[in-house]
Amino acid sequence: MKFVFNPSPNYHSGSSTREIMNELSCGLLAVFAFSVVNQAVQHGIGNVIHLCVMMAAGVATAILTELAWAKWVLKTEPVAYVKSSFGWITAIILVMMMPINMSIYPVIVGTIFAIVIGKLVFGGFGSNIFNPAAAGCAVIFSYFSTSRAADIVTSATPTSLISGSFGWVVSDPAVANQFLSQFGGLGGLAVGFYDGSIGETCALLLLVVGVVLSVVDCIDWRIPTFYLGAIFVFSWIYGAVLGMGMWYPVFHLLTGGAVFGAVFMLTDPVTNPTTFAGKVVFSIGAALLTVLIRVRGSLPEGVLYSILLMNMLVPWIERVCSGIQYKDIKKYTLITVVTFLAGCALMFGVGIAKKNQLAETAVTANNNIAVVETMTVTE
Amino acid sequence: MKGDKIMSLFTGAMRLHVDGRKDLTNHTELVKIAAGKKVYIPLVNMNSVKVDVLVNEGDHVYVGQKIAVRNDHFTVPLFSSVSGTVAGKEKRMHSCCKLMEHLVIENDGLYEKKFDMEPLDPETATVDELVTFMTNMGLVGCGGAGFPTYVKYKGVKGIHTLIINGVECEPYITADYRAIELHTDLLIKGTKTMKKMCGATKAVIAIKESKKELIEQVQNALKDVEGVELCAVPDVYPMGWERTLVYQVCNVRYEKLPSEVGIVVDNATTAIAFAKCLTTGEPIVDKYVTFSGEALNHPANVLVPVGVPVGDIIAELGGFNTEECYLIAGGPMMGRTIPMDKFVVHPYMNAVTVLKYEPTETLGCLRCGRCVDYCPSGLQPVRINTANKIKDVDMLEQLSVMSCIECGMCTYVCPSHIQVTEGIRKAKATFMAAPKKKGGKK
Repeated sequence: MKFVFNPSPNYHSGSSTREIMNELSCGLLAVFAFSVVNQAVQHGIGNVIHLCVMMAAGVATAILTELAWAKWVLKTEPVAYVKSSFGWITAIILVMMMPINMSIYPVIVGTIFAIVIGKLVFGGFGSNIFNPAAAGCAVIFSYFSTSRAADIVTSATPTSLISGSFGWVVSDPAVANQFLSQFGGLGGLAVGFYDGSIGETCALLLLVVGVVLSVVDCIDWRIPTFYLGAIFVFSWIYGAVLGMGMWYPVFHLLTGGAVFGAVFMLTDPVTNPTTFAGKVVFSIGAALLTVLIRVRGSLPEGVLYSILLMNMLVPWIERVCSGIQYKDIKKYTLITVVTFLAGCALMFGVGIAKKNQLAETAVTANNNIAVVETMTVTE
Repeated sequence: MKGDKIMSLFTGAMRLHVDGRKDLTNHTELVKIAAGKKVYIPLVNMNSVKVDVLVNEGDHVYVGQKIAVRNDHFTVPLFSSVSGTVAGKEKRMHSCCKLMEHLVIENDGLYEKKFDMEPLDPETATVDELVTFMTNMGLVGCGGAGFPTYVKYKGVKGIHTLIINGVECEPYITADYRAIELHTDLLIKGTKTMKKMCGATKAVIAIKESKKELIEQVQNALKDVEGVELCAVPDVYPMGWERTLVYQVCNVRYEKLPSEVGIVVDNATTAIAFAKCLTTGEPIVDKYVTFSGEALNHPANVLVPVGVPVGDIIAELGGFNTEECYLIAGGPMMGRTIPMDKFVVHPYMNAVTVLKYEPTETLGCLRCGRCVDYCPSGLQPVRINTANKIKDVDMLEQLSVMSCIECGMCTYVCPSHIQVTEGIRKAKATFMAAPKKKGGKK
């Protein structure tokens, strides 16, 4: 008889990281399946093939990169390493963030960057400080933003339209209606048969997947709830100052990968705080950055960079939330409320500034017209 | 993983339903085990070995005779569990996984009893008399800690509630259940007496709501008893921990001891043992101990004299069914694995769990925060482990590393099968070894 020594406890709930990762993979595949249908319905089989090639390239690159890293850098058993490193999830998320007409080689380069610089150099699974997929996307959007695959049919996306043509302000209700109607109204935006980043279009499906993943304890419900809730409130304040209706905050939620980021990227446990208070503050901060980058930044989209920026603040949030959790509830409530109110105030101020700016532009335009008219009269 | 999930925004559930596997021993027959030729009385109480032996080699002793006494800041007498001859001292493995002195007594098989104390009527005795009686009886916390019970009652003031802990939240253990079932009258007598001793206006007996039959039995017995009520508590771990239980029953938290908020907590088996002392004058010389686990042929509750080696009891029960196993003194969450079966039953042991050996695969920490979510102390085990890796003592202090009770929850819930609890033990050692800052907070 052999009595094995093992430090207590000697009992386990049976939960497993593999299971969590498999659940997450299933959620991502459900979203991917919708993207395939979306491309097939809208643009036909050519786009579907390109989409599948992108996905295959991304996943294969991730796995091969990790195999190579394990074999030549770490010098461990490569297959076992890849199995417990879950690189394919990074690859799937990265591809889902791409526009459909992205060519293949940026996907490969971005995936390698995401896996190696985003994750492996930090020490592999669990040690990275940035969301690796977001880091990879940032590289692709910075260096390959004009790289487009030939023969891929695509149309303008809601975010590129509203940022490019309107600067995220559509005060005239008639124009707003006309703008929304090309995507089938807000309902059409929620259902998702339009062009956008591959995985971001069907907000409804993403929400369902989010709820399911929360119920099975794969992601924490607080993050998507507070992120999306705060985006709604912040964009509502901005929109209200500029005379836009309730469609505006809903539009903010439904487009530009807000729901995708909320469910699959912000919730990445490795790169968000471990305490609930931290998660709540983290989500509100990310929401503020998302809306700010959208309405005032030079980028069309804010989800990606808001995630990367908040990732940088995680160590600081963790430090603030150190200690015995139930003793500091007052402090956490205060921090959350202050963050939220500061965000509201900031959005209000940004809205007023934008309004003044628009008014000035209008005055200048009117003056010009007046000058022209005077000149005409004089003639 | 779900179960008891309290929807609180900033704190986790701080507790979790754990599969108790209580059915293994809940309804099996109680097995009475007799002492062998020799019994070994551990000369130790909690972590103190400052024990004076009162008998010499060759002396004749009786059942219930005081043979030694812990003599430092606490006074805890130790008793012989058999009658026979003192055969000297021996260093043996103890259930704390260290070698300890044991007093060896050769059993003459006659079980002649001779008690040092007369029975005491709690109705007529004064509080001081009862506390003295409790001290002389060597009554210790039978929930597994072995803390001398009299300390909680000596000179206490401002107590309003006595909580009798019959929760038994560790998986596999059913010894308390069995003791309450068999001695409901003693439980009530002990509870009433303890209530009188601490001056509480109310006594609450806490039992898990899943133990329906037992609740009904106790409730029936309590019909005509005033000031004692039963409280059914959720079937979650660690409901039996003092802080969790006090929070559940009275909705208050405290800094160090429950007496700060006017509460005394004692174990149900301690109350039963105390009532037995009062009735017969007999100290704790035998124990109900659960022998359970998948690696045993016949899991059962046993009634066994103190000082009988665990290996002998398991052999008598029908032995092991595997070649490799974890032999755990206590339950699987907090109990220690002991690498040999020579350790003996002591007055505050309530279970031995024997589990099949299963190697596990450890993955990287994904910082999912489940250990934070379920930590009953509200700590951040994941960050304590990280801080210990870089030996950041200031951070360990900020993270209140010493508030950890090593309940095992963090390892239990860790999806990556990391030994988080063991990591915190190491962090505590780091923290204790580090030089304290001058004038710093303690």
